[in-house]
Amino acid sequence: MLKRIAIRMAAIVVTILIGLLVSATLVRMAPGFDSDEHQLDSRLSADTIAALKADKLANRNLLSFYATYIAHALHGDLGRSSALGTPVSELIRQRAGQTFRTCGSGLALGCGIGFLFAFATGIARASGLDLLFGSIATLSLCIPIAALALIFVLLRVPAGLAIATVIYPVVYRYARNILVRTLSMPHVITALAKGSGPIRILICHIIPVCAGQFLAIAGISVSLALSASIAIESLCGIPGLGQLAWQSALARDLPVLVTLTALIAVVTILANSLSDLVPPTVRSQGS
Amino acid sequence: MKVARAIAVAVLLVVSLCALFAGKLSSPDYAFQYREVPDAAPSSAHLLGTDDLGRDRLSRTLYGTRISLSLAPIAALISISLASLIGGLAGFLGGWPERITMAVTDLFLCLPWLFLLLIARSLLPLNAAPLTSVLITFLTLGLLGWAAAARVICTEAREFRTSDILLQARATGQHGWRLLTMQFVPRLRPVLFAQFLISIPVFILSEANLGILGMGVAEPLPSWGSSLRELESFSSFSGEWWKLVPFTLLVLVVVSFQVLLSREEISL
Amino acid sequence: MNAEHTSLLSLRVSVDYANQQGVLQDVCLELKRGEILGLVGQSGSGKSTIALSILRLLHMKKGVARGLINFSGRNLLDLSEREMRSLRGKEIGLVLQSPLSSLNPVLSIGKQLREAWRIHAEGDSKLCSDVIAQTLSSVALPHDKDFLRRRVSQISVGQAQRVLIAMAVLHHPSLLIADEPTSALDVVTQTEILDLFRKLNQKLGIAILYISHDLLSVGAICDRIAVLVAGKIVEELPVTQELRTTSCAYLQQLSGFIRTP
Ligand SMILES: Nc1ncnc2c1ncn2[C@@H]1O[C@H](COP(=O)(O)OP(=O)(O)OP(=O)(O)O)[C@@H](O)[C@H]1O
Ligand SMILES: [Mg+2]
Repeated sequence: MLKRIAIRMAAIVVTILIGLLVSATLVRMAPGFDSDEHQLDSRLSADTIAALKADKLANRNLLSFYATYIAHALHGDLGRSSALGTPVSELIRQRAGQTFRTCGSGLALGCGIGFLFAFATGIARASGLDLLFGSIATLSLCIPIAALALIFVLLRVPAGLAIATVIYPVVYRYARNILVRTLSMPHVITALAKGSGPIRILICHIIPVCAGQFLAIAGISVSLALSASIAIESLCGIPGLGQLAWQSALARDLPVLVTLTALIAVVTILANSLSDLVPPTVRSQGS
Repeated sequence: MKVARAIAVAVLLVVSLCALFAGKLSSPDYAFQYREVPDAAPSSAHLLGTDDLGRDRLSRTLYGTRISLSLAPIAALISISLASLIGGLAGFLGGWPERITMAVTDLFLCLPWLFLLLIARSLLPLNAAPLTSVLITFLTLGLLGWAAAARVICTEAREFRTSDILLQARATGQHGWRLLTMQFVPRLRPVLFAQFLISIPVFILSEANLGILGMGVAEPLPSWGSSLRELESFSSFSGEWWKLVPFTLLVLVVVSFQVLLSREEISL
Repeated sequence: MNAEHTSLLSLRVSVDYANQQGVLQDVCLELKRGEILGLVGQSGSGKSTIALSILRLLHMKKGVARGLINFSGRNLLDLSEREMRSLRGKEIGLVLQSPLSSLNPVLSIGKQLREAWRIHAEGDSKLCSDVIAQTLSSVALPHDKDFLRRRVSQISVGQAQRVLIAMAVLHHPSLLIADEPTSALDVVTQTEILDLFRKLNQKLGIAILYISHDLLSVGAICDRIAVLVAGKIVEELPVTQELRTTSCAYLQQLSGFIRTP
């Protein structure tokens, strides 16, 4: 368990470093790096231009460039957006709350519905319900997220619900399969043969055994929600990180995009390490 | 279940045939703008009406289908080749190469894919020529989609490496290249095929997402993604059903792939 | 009252699984109080299915049982789920085929034993630990705290098998169904487990339905043997002393039954 956590931590550090190096390289190679086209841009104030210039002077030397970049990043200065001239960290700070709210509510709702339906079909063993929920899930998996977002804009449905629609089918499918597999494991039959009731079976013999796998599903759905937030926020006009990513991709504002992705990657890696908190013996038994 | 599979195969067949004979079924000039009838309702001249630039929607839909349906499998082929190279090598070698590859694959799998796709796509020119944009889009998809398949292939290769079949084959004197082609490749073939089939709908969906976000295939080339952008200007579901045809077609095709795949249970 | 001769269990069932019909076809079995009945048959002949159908747990495997299962004067197929639940573990104990996977991997051994006791008994934890300690020592297992704290992954197959047996006989049921309790064990441990069954049968008067495909062990402890072939009982015969001693002839005879149809 400690080893797994150590591996995750290493992965996070490596991701951050890769993200920083890539974004530093991109900043250096960006078309405006050596020329001074920013000076012509009337949207930028004199101060900003001066700051950009100072940056550039300091950045001529390759090694010292990377060193200063990383040092700055460690102090919370993630560089400047090449399109807007605003510090990246400020852009991210402004928008993180919005994304946190939409993704959070979507995740809670999607996971809630997914697990609820999975338990309903898994425990009740009603094949009709299974077919119904399963078909809804399959259908939602077959619609591009962006198209779903457009439809939801049309229906004036809140963005959280749109994210829930993306997450629910995945959670439902995985959770249902895990539940069905666990239900047919011999130790459940032993427990039933002891005379245990359904609630006790669920609480003592199913949920603890599946906990690791359920946490893994939750981890996956965090990545999914963040991906979905790009399409949903940009098409619904919500000023969050997803929209920022989209806008900077359209403007080819790579410093912002790469830094943002590295940050998001850290979040998803952390979310995916949730399942490491459960002792691995449990999980190997389940699969 | 058999009936459903048969229907799925039939749908895919019909759609592919329509895409193949797009020129016969509709006007072959998908980019021509009938300036006098923009945004028209279906008529005998334009069976699905025209879009806001006055281009024939049927023809655009069919040619878009041709592009999406032919390039998604090619992207799948690229990603499967990449995956079998990476996964197969890692699983076959074992030891630390395998561990490192697996760790990288895991990392790759838990990253949000749409972010990666956006980075990769915006590294390349957005205002490229239409044909280049098509190639760029699907090449990016193919190059980024290897991780899940590589994992499965690596597991399979590891099982093969540690299995008794290998021992048996060595005992009968096979080795090296021969072992690879006679034992390993035949054993891997069903897995590769399943992964190939799984990737196709994923790539179709990803292209649609990129297209709707304006980062996919460039105008005036049609694709499902760019056809779906029309949904943005769509105001109600009841009035203009013909605008929903590309969307329905895409969902139908992806559902058919899912039905075909439902036997290969996608496991966690 | 002549408890010796009254019938404890008599069943006549047919079973279908969701994707396989006619797994059991009109199987008839009789079990007297205090008797050990051996049920032998090839792999896949439906032995475990009989065990599950008696406890009415077939729905866990998407199976349906039809017919009559008479257990001390009541038809189990007519009971409500609640009545059935109070019967399971109290009147009928079950030991499943694969010991290691039949125990919950997350909970400790002690916790699972305590759970089995609490379901059917009131009383303080002192009584509970006493009963558990007593039962564990009767199946020749340690009952110290350290052992009770372990999980399945930390004990051997033979120990897991005994834990399962202890759990099944905790309430001194009148019927114990043991599904291939010796198949995973070495010869010495097998003999120990067989001795254990004989002791449980003689001391506590527990009737045992002993399911196995190992004819030798069946011959060693059973009073009677039923032979199941492809979902039908093809032969029922008593085990005489003579049969036991000439085990070779006996084996031939039995395998003859299994092979004939
Ligand atoms: N869940 C199930 N669904 C469908 N068929 C099943 C299921 N479980 C068992 N069967 C079938 O029922 C038959 C009897 O199975 P059962 O497990 O009772 O055999 P068994 O005699 O206990 O075999 P073994 O000695 O291997 O334990 C087999 O042919 C098997 O294929
Ligand atoms: Mg069995």
